[in-house]
Amino acid sequence: MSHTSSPGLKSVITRLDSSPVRRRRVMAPTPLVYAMAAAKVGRQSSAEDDYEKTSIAASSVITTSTVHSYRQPVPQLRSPTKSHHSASRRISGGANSGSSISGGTNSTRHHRRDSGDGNKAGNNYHTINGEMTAASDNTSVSMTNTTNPTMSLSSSNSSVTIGATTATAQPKITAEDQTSPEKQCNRFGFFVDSSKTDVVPELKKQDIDLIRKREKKWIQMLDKWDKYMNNRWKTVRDRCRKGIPHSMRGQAWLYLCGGHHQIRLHPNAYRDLCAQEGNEQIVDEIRKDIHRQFPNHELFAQPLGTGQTDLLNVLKAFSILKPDIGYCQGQAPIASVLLMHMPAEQAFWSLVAICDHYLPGYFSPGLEAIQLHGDMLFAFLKRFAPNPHRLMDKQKIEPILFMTEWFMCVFARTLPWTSVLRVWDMFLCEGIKIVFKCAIVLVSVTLKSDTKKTCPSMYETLEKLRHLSVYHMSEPLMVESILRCELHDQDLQREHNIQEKKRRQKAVQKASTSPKSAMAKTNGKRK
Amino acid sequence: MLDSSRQRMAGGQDQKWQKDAADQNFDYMFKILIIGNSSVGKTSFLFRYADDSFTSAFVSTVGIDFKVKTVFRQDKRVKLQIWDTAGQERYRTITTAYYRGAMGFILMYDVTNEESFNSVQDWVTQIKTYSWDNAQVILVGNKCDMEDERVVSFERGKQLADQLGLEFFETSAKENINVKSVFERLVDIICDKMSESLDSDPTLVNAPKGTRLTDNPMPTNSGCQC
Repeated sequence: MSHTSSPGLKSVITRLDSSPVRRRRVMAPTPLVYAMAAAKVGRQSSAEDDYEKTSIAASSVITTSTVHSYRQPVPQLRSPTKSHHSASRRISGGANSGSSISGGTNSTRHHRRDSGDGNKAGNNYHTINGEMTAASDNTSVSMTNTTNPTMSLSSSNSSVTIGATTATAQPKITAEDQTSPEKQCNRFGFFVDSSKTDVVPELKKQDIDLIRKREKKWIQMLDKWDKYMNNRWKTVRDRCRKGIPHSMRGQAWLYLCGGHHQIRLHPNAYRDLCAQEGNEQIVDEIRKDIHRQFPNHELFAQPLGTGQTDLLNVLKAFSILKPDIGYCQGQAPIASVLLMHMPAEQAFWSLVAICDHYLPGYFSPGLEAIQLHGDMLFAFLKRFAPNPHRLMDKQKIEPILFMTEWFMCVFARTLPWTSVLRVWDMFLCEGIKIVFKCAIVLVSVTLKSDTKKTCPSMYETLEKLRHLSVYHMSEPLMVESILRCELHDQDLQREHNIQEKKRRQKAVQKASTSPKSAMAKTNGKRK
Repeated sequence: MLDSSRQRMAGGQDQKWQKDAADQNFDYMFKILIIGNSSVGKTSFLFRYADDSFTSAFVSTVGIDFKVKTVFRQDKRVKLQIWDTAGQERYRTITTAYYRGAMGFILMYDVTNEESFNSVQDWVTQIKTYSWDNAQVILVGNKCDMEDERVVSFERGKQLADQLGLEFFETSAKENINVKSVFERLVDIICDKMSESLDSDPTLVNAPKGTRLTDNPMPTNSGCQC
């Protein structure tokens, strides 16, 4: 593995390893993320609502104050025990570690195009870079690597170097070594397809100023991460809701899901897992999928290139670590999104965290959890979107028909990319609740009151849910709507219990009516 | 809800041969499922047929998806509702719920992948377990353009199909070989089966009201004459 063997990461691991483990973020073995959250009582106030509706709506407008009190924190992402760990991790050590790792990503990731059109990429980069330097007074921006479009910014007040990943600094990069040399990438690494309406807007000067400010905040916050998670969780949540600056995203995601703790606790685990053969059949299944994830992203476009190889390793390592889950096709998109933002080892531990704590049971054989969540979503729709719910109920549309991909891939294949990132920012902070909210929003805006006429049967309705309005999915609107949705952790817990009970009862009924279980029943009905 | 929906989707059992009155301009609606191991080319096959397009840059199917296409067969407008399913085994818990309404199955393997061929029997068992008895099945060996990598010969495919009592085609979604033929043949054999069923069970003929709203006269006896 290129990443694991990179000197940067090694030194990081050594550093992290040598530092005493102050606190292990204990993840209670709860069946579902929101289960723990229910223990805490969320507070409501109308003032908070107003904030949600206004300040987040204009996501491009900076709000200077960062501490807003929203309602429900998701304590499962914090330390359940309120143990303060004395001194936060060595600031520079911790953050530098991230930067080295990020740097590693970039050098690996962009290595391919260096030989080709490094200059062009570099030039574009410089333009933005220049703006950014001008925009911030106490921050000096410098290139760490002349051939790589890797940004490193030294913030004077924290002496942290962050290797900015692709976004903020690379508006357009020509991927010379791709199969089609004329293909251009947008700033997220996706090949530009002029026929698509999903165009990533260029960053404006004020956007960049705002990003700079946020980057500084995030740098400070990541330095004192555990402190923030223990004492100022709402600040973390608010900042996630506003959007994590793209240069910080990988590291922020890793920290949010607790992957960095895992790396520290098991410094060699990923490398060891990669070295293992794995179950031949599972590896075969993974191999069939690695070229089918985001083929329009430069990282995954090249057959058995860096991205595909990393993806194979991450998924294989996961299947070895969690033999009871093995590999599920829904995991590949998740791992791919992670790999776009962080090196393989970090992506691996983030995937583990997501599968364990954010989407538990989603990928296990039987796919029980996703079906249960389908039922839960349907119940929420009844409350939040009664008209669409009525229509779907009438047309006998099962939620599993439209929500499987949404939930399993956390909308990575559904929304425009800028919205995906924002949803993931919130999802990794607040958990599955965000996915439910997002689904509720999508259904409500898609199946309006006139839908009854345009969608006489389930096929038209499903078709509509598969071709969502780009306008409604656009970043600011989507985020605003999600934050407006009044779904709380305790709602999730309650509905979970209700639906689980229903499913259990159904199973019991089935078993009692037909002793030979469902299959026998099916056979009987066939006659 | 799950159960009632399954009931409703149990298309072949009664009036579901014909779709809701609201759906204009077709005589019949057939629900067809494409099944088979992961990565045999189910989605590509469907896209080639429905959109006449092919790209090697497909993403793996997570869950279940469908496309609708209307075809003309023997003076009948047949609306095909083609369901594309995730091939991985664990998705069967979700996808098998949708077998019951299906009138036709395209059971696909990849001629360059022995394992996908070996799974055919297993898929047939799945169909037998979860689908309607009269569902028609066509065995399809996809990716026949990749001669160099072929590991399953045409003869083996044909032999297995004969053994299982299925029709057989070798296809290439990439080169557009036999894709249309498979669907046409499937529609034909579903029509045949349907007229048989209707002949043997006259209640089906009288069952639905307003089953078709086209200008064509209502078929007086059995459904499709193809």
